[in-house]
Amino acid sequence: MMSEKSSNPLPRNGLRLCIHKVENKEAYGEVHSLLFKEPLHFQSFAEMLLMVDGMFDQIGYPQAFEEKRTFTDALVHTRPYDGSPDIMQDVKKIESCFGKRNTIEIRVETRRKANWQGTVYAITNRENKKQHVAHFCSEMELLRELMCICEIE
Amino acid sequence: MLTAYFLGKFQIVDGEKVLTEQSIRSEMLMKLILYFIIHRDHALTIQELSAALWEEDEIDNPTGALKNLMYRLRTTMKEIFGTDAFFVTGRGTYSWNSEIEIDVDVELFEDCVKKATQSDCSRAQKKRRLLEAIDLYKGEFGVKCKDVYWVMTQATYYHSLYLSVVLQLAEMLIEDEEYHQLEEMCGDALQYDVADENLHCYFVKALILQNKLELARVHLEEAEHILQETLGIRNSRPLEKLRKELMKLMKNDLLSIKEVLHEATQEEDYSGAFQCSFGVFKEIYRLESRKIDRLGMAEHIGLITINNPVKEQTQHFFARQAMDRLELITKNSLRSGDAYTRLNDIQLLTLLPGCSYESAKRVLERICNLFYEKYTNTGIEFKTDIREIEEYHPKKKE
Repeated sequence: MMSEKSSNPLPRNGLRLCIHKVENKEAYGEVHSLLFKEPLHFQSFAEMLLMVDGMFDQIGYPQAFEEKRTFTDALVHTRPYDGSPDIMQDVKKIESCFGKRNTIEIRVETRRKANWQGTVYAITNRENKKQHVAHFCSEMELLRELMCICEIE
Repeated sequence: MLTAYFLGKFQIVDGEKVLTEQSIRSEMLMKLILYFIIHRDHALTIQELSAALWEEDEIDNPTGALKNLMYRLRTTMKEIFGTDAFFVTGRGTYSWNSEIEIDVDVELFEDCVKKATQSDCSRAQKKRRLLEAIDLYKGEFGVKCKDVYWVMTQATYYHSLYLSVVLQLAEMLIEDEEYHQLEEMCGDALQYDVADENLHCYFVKALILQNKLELARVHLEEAEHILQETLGIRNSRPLEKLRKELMKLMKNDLLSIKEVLHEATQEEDYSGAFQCSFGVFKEIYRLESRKIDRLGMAEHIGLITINNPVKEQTQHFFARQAMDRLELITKNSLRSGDAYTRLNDIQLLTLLPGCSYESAKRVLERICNLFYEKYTNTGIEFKTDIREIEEYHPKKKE
């Protein structure tokens, strides 16, 4: 459900999703963040979630409330909390990127209960206007919102 | 006419002649005369007097011992008052001479309270009688003879009667806006019972109502400390309510930023983690739960509880001792920005910002292990519990 507009620039905890195509109910595109050296390419939203979650762990922001668990004794590298991680990309450069099909902004506020919580914005192409879509309390809720924006049945 | 004072002191007065605990020089004689005067309405058998004086103690010859005590008492009374006609010896009994009239402070006190609570008593009469009653109460009944049960039970009865009078009067004095008298009355009452929560509340209220805000703040902190130490009350709701009221009032004073900073930085001990009351801990928790969304930070609260059963008095003592030690270890183990509070005699609560669940678990384990290493053979075992800080408001679902 659409509501208020936001014109705030992309924050540190923001992700800009550029969706170029949807095929067999899977979204293809790239995800940009101020904290990533380069965009991450994905072939589904699930892949995007796993990649970004791993990046967050490496950066230490936003901090996970739980460490990753494995069925083996293998250690999962998680950086301690970093309140002001280095900015790796120019915000203007990121905000000039658009998906051929959709552009979406996600702000991940917390990572409670081994999940994500935050807000999703749909971006009107070329005008760069952010339309607040919804709050989400879990990755499943976020996936539902993303599929809804991309009109994936 | 004689007057006896048994509240907060031991004194029998006849004009200028005064019998005090110093002149009587014997606890036994004090107990004996106290018993005689309190029970002067009937003749006292040797058995009754023996039970009152020696209780469970085995005495070879109670009749002889009592005869000896009576002789000493008569001699002392004669030395002070010039006559030994106070007691009458009967067949196997002793009694107070009914021809000698005596006013007793406890009886006058009780009488005042009874009269005040009579239904035909007007509000003004009631207030006057209650004020007379508290004026008569100068301390605990039979202070020097408290090791015998009948004195103890009487002392408890008069003390609770006094407290009920003070509380009744406190409400009346607030209604009549006599705040200075309320302050004096509660101040006196707190000397007799420092662990009464209601008295502290009325005392602080009296100070607030007289605009003595700084004094009220200081006393409030003292009261919280006293209640924690004596009764283990960590989170007194009435006191917390007063604290909030006080804070609101204190904020109305015009302060410079320098004064604010001076007040805010007045912490005595900067070393180690931040120790606070549960009330302050709750405020910090609320603040943190608001902050973490913005800061992208994980935060947990950790609870350490003594796992051993704590039922008997000695177990309480050891639990308290263990918690004192654990508190010190916690203070030195956590980061200086972390907050912790002692919930009660067996629980300690910590706030761990920037810690994942696993890190928080390691922190609590480290604290417990440091205790086990430092204090071996205490038999104390701890259990830990960790929870995420809750969101300060549920996110709107679209």
